[in-house]
This record gives sequence, C-alpha cells and structure tokens, in this order.
Amino acid sequence: MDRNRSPLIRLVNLRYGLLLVPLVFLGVFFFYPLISILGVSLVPDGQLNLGAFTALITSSYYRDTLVFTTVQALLSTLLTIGLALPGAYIFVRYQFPGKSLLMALATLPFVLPTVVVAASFSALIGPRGLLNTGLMSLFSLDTPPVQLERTLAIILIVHVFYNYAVALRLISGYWANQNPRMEEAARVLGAHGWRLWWAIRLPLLRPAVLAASALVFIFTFTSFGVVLILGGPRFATLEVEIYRQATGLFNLPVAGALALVQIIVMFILMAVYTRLQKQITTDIQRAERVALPPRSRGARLAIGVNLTVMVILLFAPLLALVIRSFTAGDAGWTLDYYQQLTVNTRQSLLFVPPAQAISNSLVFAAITTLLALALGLITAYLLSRRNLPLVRWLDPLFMLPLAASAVTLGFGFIIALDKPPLNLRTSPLLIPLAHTLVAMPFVVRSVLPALRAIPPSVQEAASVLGASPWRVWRWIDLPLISRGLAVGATFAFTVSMGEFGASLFVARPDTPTIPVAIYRLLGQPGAANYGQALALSVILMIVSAVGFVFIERLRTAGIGEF
Amino acid sequence: MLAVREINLFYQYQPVLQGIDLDIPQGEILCLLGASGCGKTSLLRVIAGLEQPDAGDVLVNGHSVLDVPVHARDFGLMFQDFALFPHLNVDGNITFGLKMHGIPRHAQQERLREVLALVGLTGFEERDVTQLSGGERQRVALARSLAPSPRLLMLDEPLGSLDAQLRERLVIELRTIIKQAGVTAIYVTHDQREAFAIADRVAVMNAGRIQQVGTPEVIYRHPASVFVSRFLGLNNVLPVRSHRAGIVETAVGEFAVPGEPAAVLLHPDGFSLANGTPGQLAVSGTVVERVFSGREYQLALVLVTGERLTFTVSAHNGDDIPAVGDSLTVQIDPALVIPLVDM
Repeated sequence: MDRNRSPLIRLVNLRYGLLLVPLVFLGVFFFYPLISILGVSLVPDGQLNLGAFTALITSSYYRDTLVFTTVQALLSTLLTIGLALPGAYIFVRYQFPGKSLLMALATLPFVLPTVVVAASFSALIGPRGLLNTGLMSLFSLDTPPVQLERTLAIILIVHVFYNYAVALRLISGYWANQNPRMEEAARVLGAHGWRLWWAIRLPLLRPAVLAASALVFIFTFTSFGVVLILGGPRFATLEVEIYRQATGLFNLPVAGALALVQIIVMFILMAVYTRLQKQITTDIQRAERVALPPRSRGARLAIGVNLTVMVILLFAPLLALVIRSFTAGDAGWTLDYYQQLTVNTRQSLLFVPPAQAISNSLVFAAITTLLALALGLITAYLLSRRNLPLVRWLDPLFMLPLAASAVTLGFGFIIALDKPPLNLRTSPLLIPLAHTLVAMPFVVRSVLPALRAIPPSVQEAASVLGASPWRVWRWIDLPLISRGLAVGATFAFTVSMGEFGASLFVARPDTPTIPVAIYRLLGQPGAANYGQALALSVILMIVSAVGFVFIERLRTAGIGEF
Repeated sequence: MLAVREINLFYQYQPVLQGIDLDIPQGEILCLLGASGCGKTSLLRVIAGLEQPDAGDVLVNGHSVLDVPVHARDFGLMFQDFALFPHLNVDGNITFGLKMHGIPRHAQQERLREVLALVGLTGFEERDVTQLSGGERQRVALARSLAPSPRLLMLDEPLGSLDAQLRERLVIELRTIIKQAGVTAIYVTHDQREAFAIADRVAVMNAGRIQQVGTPEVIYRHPASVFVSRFLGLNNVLPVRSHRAGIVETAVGEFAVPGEPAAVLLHPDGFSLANGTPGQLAVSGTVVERVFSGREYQLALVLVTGERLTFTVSAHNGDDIPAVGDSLTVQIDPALVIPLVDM
C-alpha cells in the first residue's frame, strides 16, 4: 500500500520530469564537476598521466601540507574538546543566571562566515587590532607588541572559537540526557574525585566526545578562510593549497590531485562521523538531569573560570570587530567606513563600490533561497516516501554536497562549467548555483521531518471531505511544513550570504559577494580599506545573527533533524 | 545500627521531609512504604549522602555520618532503574566498588564469584550488561551493591521496573538473599504486598512524615491513622461525632474504644454473618455488591444511614452468601474496631 500518497507525489508521478529535477541538478552541478576534477588530475592532456599524484607523494612540500593540515586539525580538536568538556560539565551540572541565553549566544560564532571571524580576530589581536593599537599608544611603541598574525597559534585560537560551541552542545546535550543515577551509583560504591572522571564520566561520555572530535576534526581539516586570511603564506591546509595551485599557479593537475585526496579523506571522515552520531542517538538512556544552583565555593569557582573563558574567547573578538569598524583610523569614533562603502575609489581592487557587493550578495542569496527551496521541497517529498526502494540510497546522496568542501566545489565549477557543453563562465548565476548545492541539504533536513510527521490519515481525511489534491497540499501539507520551510529558507539565505570558499573561485571580478569583498579589502593596506572590511563584516555578522536567532526561535518549537 | 534524627529537607522552599525519626537495628529489613512523592526516596538519598538535609542527623552506631561524603559512607544503594554502567560488563560492574576500595584483584575475583553465586548468576562474569533481561539486570545491580559488603544496603523500588509476575517471585528471593548476606537494609516501595513480604518492619510515609512504624502484622491489624488505614485499602472508616468516657459515637452507632480518636475503622476481618449474640455490635443494611474471588466473597453493604462498608466472607459458607439486594445484619468483633487519629 502506498501510505504516503501525498498529492504532490501524485503530481510528480504524472510528470517524471519534476521528480528528476533535483537529481539532474545534482548530476550537473555536483557530480559532473567532481568527475572533471578526476579528469584534470588523471588525464590532464588527453591521456592518463599520474604525474600530479607522484608529485604529491615525492614532493616534501605537498607532504608537509598534508601533515600540517592533519596536525593543525588534531591540535584544534584537542584544544576545543579540552575546553568544551569542563564547559559542558558546568552547563549540565549547575543552574546559574543567564545560562540559556549564554548557550544560545555561544552558538553564534559557528554560524558566522569565516571572513567575519577572520576580520574579528584581526580586529582584536591583529597588527592593526584593538589590543596592539591600545598597547602601542599606551607604551608609545612603534611596532605591534602582540605578533600573533601568521602564526599557528592564531589559527588554533580561531578554530577553537569556531568549534567550541559545537563541541559544547554535542557533549552537554548527551550528558544532560544521561542517567544521573549512574554517577550516583559510582559515588555510593566509593568513587570520587579523578576516579569518578576516569572510571565513569569519561567512559560514559565517550560516544559524544568521539562524535564531537570527529566533527571538529572535519571542520578544521577543511579550514580555508581562516588559514588563508590569518595564516599568511607560511601556512597552507589542503584547501588553501588547492586554491593557490588552481588560481595562483594555474597548476590544475596538482590542484585536482589535492582535491581528490581531500574528497577521499572527507568521505572517510563523514562515514566515521555518521557512525558515531548514530551511536549517540541510539544509546541515550533518556533521563532528566536537574541542574542545581552551585552550593560550594569550588563549584562557583569552576563556573566563574569557565564563563570567563567563554566570554573572552567568544565575545571579545566580535566586540573588537564592532569597535574597530568605527575606529579603524586614528581619528577616533567615526562612521566614515560605513559611508565609504558606497564610494568607488579609483585604486579600489573591486572595480565596484563595496556597497555593490551587498546588493550582489542579497540578489544571490534570494536566488539561492528560491532554488534551494524548490529543489529541496521536491527532494523532501521524494525522500518522505520511505517505501520507495531507492530512497535509502538517495537520502545520503543528497547530503553529499555537505561532505565536499566549498573549495572543491568552487574548483570543480571553474574547471567543468567554463567550456562547452556547459559554458557558464561569464554567468553570474554560477554563484547562486554553487550556494544552492550547499544550502539544499539544509532545506531537505528542515522540511523532511515535518513532512514525515504528517499522518497519511490526515491527508486522507481532507480528501474524503472533498479537497482536491492541490487543495490538500495547500491547506494540509503546506501549513504543517511551513515552519520547516521557514527554517530551511533562512538557512539557505544565511549560508549564501556567508559562503566564502566556492564564491572566491567563481565570483567574477566585478560581481563580488560580501565575503569576497571583505577578503579583498583585508588584503589591502591603508586604514580606509581595513575600516571598510570591518564595516562590511559587521553588516554580515548582523545578517547572520538575525538569521541564526530566527532559526533558533523556530527550532525550539521542535523543527529539524540536526 | 542506623539512627535518623529529626531530619528536615526542603526543595525550593517546599518541605520534602519533616521531622523524620527512625531507628534500625543491625540485620533488620525496614521498608519505607508510601505513595510516589511522599518523600521516601528523598529520605534514602539523605541517608546515602546524595542529599544534604536542612536539619537533623544521620547516625551509624552512634556516630554522625553527615560530614562523611557519599563515597566514604560504606553504604550500598540499589537504584530503581539499576543504573548499571553500560561501558562495563557484569564483572566490571560488580567489582567496581571493590576497585574503589582498593581490594586486590584476586580478592575481587573471589568476592565476584561469591556474590554471583548468591544472586544465582554464576558464570555471567563476561556478559554485556545491555544484553541482560530485566530480572538478570536486577540481580547484577543487587550483586554490585552487595559486593563491597556495605554496612547498610538501601534498595529504591528495586522491582519497580519489572512486570508483576516477576516481581512477586523476586521479592521473596530478594528477602532470602538479603537475610543470607546478613546486611541491614532499607527497602523503599509503594507496593503494600511487596512491603509486607520483604520487611521485618514497615514505616508508612505520607507528605514527608512517617505515619506509623511497626511489623507488617501490626500495621495491618492496627493502623494508627485514617491515612494509613485508607492507604492499606481498609476503607470502613467512620468519623467520630462525639466521645465520652471511652464510648465514641459514629453515624453507624456507638463503639467502646479508648482515647479520643478522630475516626474508627471497622476492620474487614472483624465482620461475621453468624447470628450469635444479637445486640450492641450489629449493623444492618442492603447488599449492593458481591464479588467472588476464589477463596472468599467480597461484600459491600450500604446502611440505612448511607454509609458503605466492605468486608470479606469465606467461600466455605456456601449457599448462605447473601445476594445483591438482600437485607443483611452483620456482627462486628469489638476487638477489631480500631481507633484512628486524623492524619
């Protein structure tokens, strides 16, 4: 029996074309570029040539890149988990004022575009940052005393900033659902102090800690914008190297080979993460753990230390960004940098005034949202039919673009879509198309649970009451999935606004997006360029924050599978 | 062995325990009986040290243990959901407490075999605890709390999550095991049958207070208060209208009971159909309910004054059992008219 016989599906059944649209889209804009990468690395000149791969193995430079990528990801993961574990402990264990607000705010960095984060840290501890300019004027120094830019340290700090909340949420969520009796049982049996951590808490948290580690490792292994902007020429992750080889050195075979390595590593990591994630959701013994106000002085101290770390780590850079966007020069507080955004100076490398980047981004984000909603909705309907044998395979297939890194996507786009049969090189549509690939999985994940939650009997009842298939969709399905659609649309919009890696590849010189414009401005000397970069970053931060708050609001109503 | 003195506990300004006093001699099984939310689990947690009381003291052999942290109290606690450690096997769970007490490995293994034999799980050492049945998990939890030979064993509704049939079988087994281990025990339950089956003495709790402490027989035959009487399902409670010189007056009639009770209980065991001496302790009414349950009939009688009394009659009386609608006069054994205080 066809239990999910929704009206739209019947419509789709009538027109196979509609059903195929997301698949065709995925084929043309995801798999075709991936195959092109394979082609450019393996058969660069029309015949099989493994030269690029042998170069990867023989050249110590590429080996070092791979080693650095792995080592920095490992260090970032260790640091993040090391900080998030005690944070999770106080969040699970204690009740204190402002807790839920802080938890929500702590997630903000994760949704911020990399360029905004890079700009924030530059504004805090960069050579032109708040800390250095403050110290310089205080002690009449000529050179910035804090030299963190272009060091491994700043890369690690930013990676912790980015991923702290991810690890905190994952671990504390798992912890809070864990049966508190187990810990009490251990205490009654004589465990206390470090033995309680070692024998009970850590082993019980193992699945969550491993899953969080895998996730942080994935994010930092593919780190692009942070390393590109803050790392300087000395540091390159695989992502950065792909970008440099492809655009700076025009060494496409090596870029392709690197991208291939990256794709393989990512797929393995994603498979590992999916495994770990499943374990988390299955072995939860649902229990309610009540957080209590701290009673001892030690508890209050633990809370104080953790909150201080959190606030300094997470909010000082954002605060610095806002302050410096008004004070980038030496002239004190000014709105100049915001006003200059509309002016096209002659020496500008953007060819257009920065404000143009804002309208570009808005237009691209609007197109992305529409495309992602349309394709995502059809995909969700397709996937909601669990009884279709193919669905089991299609579901992970549609998630694949999330596993491919943005730089890989962008690189695939420029080598695959710039020549016949599909020449989109000059089309400004390339950007929203790339963004749609990244945004579509979010729409699917937001809509699918709502769709699956509609009991078929409800739709049948409407039909029996005389509603035509279209009206069933309009008056039953649509209202029930509207929240999911809103969440998906917001995701699509904010993802598009902040996307950097792919955009950097495919944006044409005269149609930069906000992140691309920020990147270009940050690379320029002069207070004006710097100030405008920060001003644009503030604007982008606000857009992301508003989108994030909106999603959080809707999500607390229990929408989404994340 | 254990003494609890004037324990008070508040949760967010709500009293949870009020003036709890208890004495448990060495080797006794005391049962805390009460409905959910009456404070019995909180009392257990205070004794275990998982909760600090706002007032009062907990003494072991005359010494206060309030300042002794949980892990150093040498008590055993078996949780309702067992709280087995999912990352450890049966061996790891049971020897956990021994490890924490620094017992050498070979002694651990010896004790492991001992307690496994005690709970009837010999050979289960390497089993994964998540693969065990409900009854097996219950035994592992019991073995785990017994392994370090605690001074006091506490069991928080240990059969609560099992089905009724299994429960009835296990409760008797549990008593045998606890008695064999010779450990002093506090057993928490809301089930009266379970309490009577396992306990040497029962403490009935309500709203954070102990209502009555006594052997199961005393509690059942002579409930002290209206609450205890009704909690045990003894519902023939008649409010006292007035009393003078050892005679109390109720809607049904006058009874000779000592003191100034708020109500009297006409214990269902004290009713008889025999037309013996007619006179002071007979009541008449109409039979409104007759339920046959094998060995006996349960009859409900509505008196002319409107009161409803229930009692049981042995099925041996055969054909003489009155039918619904019959008028009936029953005699009441004056020894089973119980004075109740109003609590």
